Amino acid sequence: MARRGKILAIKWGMNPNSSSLGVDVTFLIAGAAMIAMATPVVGALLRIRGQRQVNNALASTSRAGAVDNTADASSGSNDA
Amino acid sequence: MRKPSWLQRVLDVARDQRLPRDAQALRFRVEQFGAIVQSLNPRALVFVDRDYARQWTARNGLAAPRWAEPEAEAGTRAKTQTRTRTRTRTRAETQTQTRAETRAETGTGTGTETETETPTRTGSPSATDSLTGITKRVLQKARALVRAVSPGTAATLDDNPITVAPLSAPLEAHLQLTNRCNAGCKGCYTGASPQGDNTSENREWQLAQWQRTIDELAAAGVFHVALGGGESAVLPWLGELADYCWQRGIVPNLTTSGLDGLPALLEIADRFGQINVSLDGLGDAYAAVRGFDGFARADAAIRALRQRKREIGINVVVTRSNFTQLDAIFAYAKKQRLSEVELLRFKPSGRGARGYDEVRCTDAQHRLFLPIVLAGAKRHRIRVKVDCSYTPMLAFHDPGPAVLAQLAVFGCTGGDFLIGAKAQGQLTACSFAAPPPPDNNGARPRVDELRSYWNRPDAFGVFRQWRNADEPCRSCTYLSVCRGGCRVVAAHAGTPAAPDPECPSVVRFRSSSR
Repeated sequence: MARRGKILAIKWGMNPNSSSLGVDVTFLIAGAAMIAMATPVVGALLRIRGQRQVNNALASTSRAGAVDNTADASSGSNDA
Repeated sequence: MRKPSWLQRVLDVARDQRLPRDAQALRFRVEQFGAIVQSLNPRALVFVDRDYARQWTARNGLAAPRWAEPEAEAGTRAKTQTRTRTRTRTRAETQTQTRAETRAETGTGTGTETETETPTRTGSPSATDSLTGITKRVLQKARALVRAVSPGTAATLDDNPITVAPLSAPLEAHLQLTNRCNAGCKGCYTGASPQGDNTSENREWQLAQWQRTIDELAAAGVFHVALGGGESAVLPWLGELADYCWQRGIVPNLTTSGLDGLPALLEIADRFGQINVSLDGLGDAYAAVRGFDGFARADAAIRALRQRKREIGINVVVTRSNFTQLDAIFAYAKKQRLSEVELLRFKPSGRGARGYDEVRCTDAQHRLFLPIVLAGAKRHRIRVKVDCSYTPMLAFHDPGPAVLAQLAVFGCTGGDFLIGAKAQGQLTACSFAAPPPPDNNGARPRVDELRSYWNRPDAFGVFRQWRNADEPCRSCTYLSVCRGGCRVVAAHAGTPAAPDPECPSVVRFRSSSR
C-alpha cells in the first residue's frame, strides 16, 4: 500500500500586499488543536476537488505532465 | 450539447463571483521537500511531502513527479544543518526514520505516514497483531499531534523540511509597477514621487516589459503577484496586465492608496484576486502617520471598492502613534465588511528611514503585539494577517514552532518565498531591500531574468544566510521559522546579517548580556 503522505503547511489566502509576505494569524485564536484539525479537512478538499479541477485543466491545456523543477528552475512548474 | 440547468447557471455565477477568470485549476509545483499545491477554493497554498505529491498526481492522472535529490539525501542534508538545539533522537527513532526514507526512495512504502511509525506493518498480521497495530498507530498519531502542537517543542531543520533549502521559485512576486505617486506620504518605503523613477537615462517599465516578466514568473512557477507602487491604479494598462496574469496562471493582487485613479480601478476591480487599500489610521491618526489628511478619500475608496468586490481589505502600517488604535481599526474593517486586515511593521526604507526610531513601535508595544491583535480579531471577528517581519513578535509568545510552521508563518523569506521588483525591473529580495550588487559586467539582476539568477550560490546575499545566525538566534528554537527576523531592520541598525534588533527576545538577551 502506498503511503498517503502528509500536509506540511498551509498558507491561507492571497497576499495583495506588495511589500511583504502576509500570513494569517487568526487561527492562533482557535489554538493549536484547531490548526491540527484543519489540516485533514484541507487534505480532503484537495483530494475531492483536485480530480474535478485537474480534469478541467487537462481539457484546456496540453501542458499536463510532471516536470522536475528542483534541479533547474527553468523547467518551470507543473501546471496541472 | 445539453443546455445547463438554471441551478448550474446560478452556481456558475456564484463561482465566478468568487474566482474571477478561468483560472479554476489547481496548480502544482515540485519542491525538494515534496510539492506545493495551489488551491483556489479555499484559497491556500498547501505544502505537501513527497508521498502526498505522488498520491496526488497518481489520483489525478498526472505523471509521477521527479525530484533531483533523493529523499534520503535531502534528509541527510537537513540533519547536517541542524544546530545544537536539535532534539535528541533515540537510536530506534533514527533507525525507523532511515527505513522510512529508504522505503520512500525505493518506492516500497508500507503505509507508514510519519517518521515515528515503526516498520512492523509489513506482512499479513493476525487479528491480535492488527489490533495492536491499530492501537500503536493511534497512540503514535496522538503523540505526533501533541508534539506538533506543544509550545516549546524544538523546531529543528529536519523537523521542518520546508526550510531545508530555498524553494525552486518564489511563491509570489511583488512588482512595483511604478514609483509615481502624488500622495507624498512622509514614511513612504519606496520614496515615491509624482515623477516616479523616470530619469533621463532610465525609464520605468511599461506594459510589454511587465508582460515579459509575467511570462518569466509563470515559467518559474510563481503562484501570485502583488502589484503595487507608487500608485499603480493610475496606470492605463493595469487591467490588461491583470488579465495577462490570469492567462499565464498567476493570480494578480493589488495594493492601492485609494487616493488616485479610483474610477478606473472600479472598472477593473473584479480582475484581481484581492485588493487592499492602505489605511494607516482612522481620522486624525491617518494624518499623523502619513503627514496629510487623506482618510476621507481612502475611506470613500474602500466603500466603493467593497460595493464592487468582496475581497477587499486594508493594509495598516503599525507605528508608535496608531498602535493604540488597532482595535478601532478592526472595528472599522468589520463595519465595512472587509475580508481582512493586514498589519505591516514600519520599515526603515525609502523616506521611512528618516526619523525611523521615533516612528517605529517601542519594545513594549512589540511585546504586546500578538495578544492585542488576537484579542481584537476575536472581539470583532475579523481576519487578521501580519507581515513576515512580525514573526519575532509572534515567536516571543512561544506558540510553538511547529504551529507557526503549519501556518506557513516564516520570518524573513525575501529571496526565497518572495521577491521584489523595482519600477525599472531590478530584482530584489523584497520590496524594502536594495537590488543585489552588479556582476562583473556591471549589470544588476532583472526580474525578467529571474531563473538565471535564482540558483546562483550567492543569490540574494544575507537573505539566504540565516542558518549562520549569531546569538541569541543561533540557539533559538524558532530560528528555522523566524530566520533571524527582518534583514532590512537589521541593516538599518548596521549589520544586515545580525539578529533583528527589535525582536523582544534579542532585546532581552542583549540587555541581560550587558
